[in-house]
Amino acid sequence: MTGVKALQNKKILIVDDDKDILEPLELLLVSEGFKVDTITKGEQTYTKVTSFKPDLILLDVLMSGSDGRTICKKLKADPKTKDITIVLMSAHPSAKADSKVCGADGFIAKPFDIDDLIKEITDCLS
Amino acid sequence: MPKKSQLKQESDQIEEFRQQIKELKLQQKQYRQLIDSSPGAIAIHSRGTLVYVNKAAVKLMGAKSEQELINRSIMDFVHPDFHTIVKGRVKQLYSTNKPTAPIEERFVRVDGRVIDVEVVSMPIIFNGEQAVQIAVTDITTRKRNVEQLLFNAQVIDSLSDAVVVMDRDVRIISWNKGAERLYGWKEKEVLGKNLSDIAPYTYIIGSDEEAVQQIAKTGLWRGQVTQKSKKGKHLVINVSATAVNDSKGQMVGFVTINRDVTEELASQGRLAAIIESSDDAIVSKNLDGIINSWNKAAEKMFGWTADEVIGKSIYIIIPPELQHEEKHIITSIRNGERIRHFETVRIGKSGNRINVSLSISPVRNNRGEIIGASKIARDVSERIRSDQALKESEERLRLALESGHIGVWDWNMVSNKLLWTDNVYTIHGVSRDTFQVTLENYLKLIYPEDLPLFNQALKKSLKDKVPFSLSLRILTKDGIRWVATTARVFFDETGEAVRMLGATSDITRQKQLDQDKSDFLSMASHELKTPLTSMKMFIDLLNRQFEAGELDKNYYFLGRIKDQANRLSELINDLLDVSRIETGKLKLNKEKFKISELVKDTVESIQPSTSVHTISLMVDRDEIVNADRYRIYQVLVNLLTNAIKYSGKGKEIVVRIAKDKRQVVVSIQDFGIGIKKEQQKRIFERLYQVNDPEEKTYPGLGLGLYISKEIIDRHNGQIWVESKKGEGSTFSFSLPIAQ
Repeated sequence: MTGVKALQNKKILIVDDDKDILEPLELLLVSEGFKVDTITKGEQTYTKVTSFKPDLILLDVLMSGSDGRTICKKLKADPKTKDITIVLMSAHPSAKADSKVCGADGFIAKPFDIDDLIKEITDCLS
Repeated sequence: MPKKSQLKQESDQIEEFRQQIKELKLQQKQYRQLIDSSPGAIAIHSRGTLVYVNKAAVKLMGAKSEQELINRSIMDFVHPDFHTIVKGRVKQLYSTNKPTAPIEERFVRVDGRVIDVEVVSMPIIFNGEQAVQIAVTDITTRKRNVEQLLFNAQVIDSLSDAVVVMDRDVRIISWNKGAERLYGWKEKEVLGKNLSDIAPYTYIIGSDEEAVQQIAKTGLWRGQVTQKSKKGKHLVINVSATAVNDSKGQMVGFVTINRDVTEELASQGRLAAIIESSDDAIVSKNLDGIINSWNKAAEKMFGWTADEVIGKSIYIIIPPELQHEEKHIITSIRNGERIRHFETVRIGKSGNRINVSLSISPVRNNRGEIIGASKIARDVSERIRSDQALKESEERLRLALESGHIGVWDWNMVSNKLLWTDNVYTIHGVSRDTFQVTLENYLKLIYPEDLPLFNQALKKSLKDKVPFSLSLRILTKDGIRWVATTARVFFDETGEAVRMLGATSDITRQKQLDQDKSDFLSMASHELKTPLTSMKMFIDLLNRQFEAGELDKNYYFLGRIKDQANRLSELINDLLDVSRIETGKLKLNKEKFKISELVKDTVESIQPSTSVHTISLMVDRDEIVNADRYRIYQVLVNLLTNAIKYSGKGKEIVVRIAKDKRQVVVSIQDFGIGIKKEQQKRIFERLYQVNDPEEKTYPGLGLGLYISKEIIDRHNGQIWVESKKGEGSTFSFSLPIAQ
């Protein structure tokens, strides 16, 4: 926990089209001491990144209307956003391989244990 | 001096002598008269000179009177060939004093003609002189006849037929080589014997009585007998007997010509047996088309018995519309032409039609003239049926290939010639007119990325001698399409691949379906994992609170967990329903109920799930329906949750129940985002979810409307949507009103 505590005040943006996912994620990460913001539409990511300036984006891969991989690629290609750590999450088994291709820093498969998620986030941030 | 009595005695004796002499003279006179008038020629010669001839002798020798003969040397009338014999005989006669047996000689008449005679000689005393009396019979005619017979017999010796010459007592006079061959006896064994002792005969045709009568009447008889040869072989003989007469018309014998017909009859019998036992109908007719033979198979094939049709016209078995055929047939036959395997139709007794193959040949008489035709008819109905069946099965295969859009191709690997059926051209979207089918051109049609796959599969098939099987992409004018190809490779005896025969079909649609299925599975698992992920996190959070002793939010978390479990359960139910629909196992438990009650209950149960929407119910007309209450509830829930989900800014939802003819119509109207016209048609399809980048995102499997449509369809109702983009949608379904 000390390691995690050291990462307190880091800002995490969660992007997922499912509110039932967003809610417990937000609760969890807030309780872990992160500053958290959430959005349900992928396209809003770019503006949100500018305003919120997250240290890490927890990005869902398959969302209605947009694709997390495309967003990831775009952010990593933009010099202004390429240093933001991106962790992709997906219920799709093949998404892990895709995450490497699109330049993501980490990947977590849904459903997950929250301890695994915290570990993936802290690993990626440190 | 002699005594008186003595004298008397002597005188009596003299008288007696005189009397005796007188009688003798009388006798002599009578005897002379008898001899003179005897029909047999009688002459007496003494010391080589004729001393007496009777009238018959004068006639025999062709003289006018006895003066022409008397006192002439006997040798003047004996043929020089016989002079020595006659001299010798005369000498013998004088010494033995006994008459001779009849001897054949030749005499020369006064007119110079030579005649054959039979002579009987006897020594007598004539006018006190030693003399010879001869009785002469003219045997010229008889002898000539017999000689002629013998001569003829020699001529006919060379004939193959047995020629037997017999005298009138049926004694064999001549027995030619043919007879030796036929009966086995040599001529010398049989000459002079009676034929019936040599080879007893039994009549097959004719009788002794008939033969005798016929010969007597006409001089000719024909018949048939059975006889046995020397070796005991049973013979059937055709006999032709002709009388031989002398110049006076007297029968002196007869000639029989005996022909062995044993083999001929047997082969005729065999031929008849073959014809009778043939499976083919064998019929013969004359040039007028009149039937004169009709075998068993013909009876069976056409249903007419031989008795019924013999003597009738062949037209009896020719269908009316084919009667012209017979004219052609007869014309060909008259020209001596054979007709082989002419396939046509003939008609049976019961009017049934028979497919036949005819072979027709001219029939000729002994002189080689065409007198009719023999016709062999084979029933080919079965073959035609099997030909037809084969054609039909080929047609079915062709149809199957066509309707399955399967193209067949044949690659001759020796000549490198490639043949395509129309479907292959269609699959590749190329025209027969412009596309030249070669392997090189074909390879150009393959999607370049898949070319190595093709080469690899071909190599494997040729090397391992396994069927070629491959799915690959091709380039067509309509873009990339998928094809599946299977082929067999044919190898020659050296193991060299010589031919490849294959079938190709377009599987783009199938590939698409496979892709849809895989997409669906992927989405379903994604959808299922989402509530699961949520549940797990709430449970983990709950755990953390337990550990930290902070249980203030646990009721909320438990409530959220229950929501997610319910969501999961609904998803699973939807998936199960789809599976039931697809396998036809969606069962309805119908009952009669008031539709308004169900709608009202549903609205009341859904209303609490939303705090921002107001659902109002307007019942124009209530009706009783016969339906599955749970399934209709499911449809209502789906339509109401959709209305809430897609309402956007519109807060009001209106539910109406109305009547339309014999149907009750339930409609749910929202004032939300609406649906584009082109999407309206597809929203009831399985897995269709309005997916618009501009749109807000909506979770879900996209199964709700599909399941709803299936449920309504099963109730013989209808479901539809009326919508305008941006103004909202009205989903309606109708159900038949219960009777």
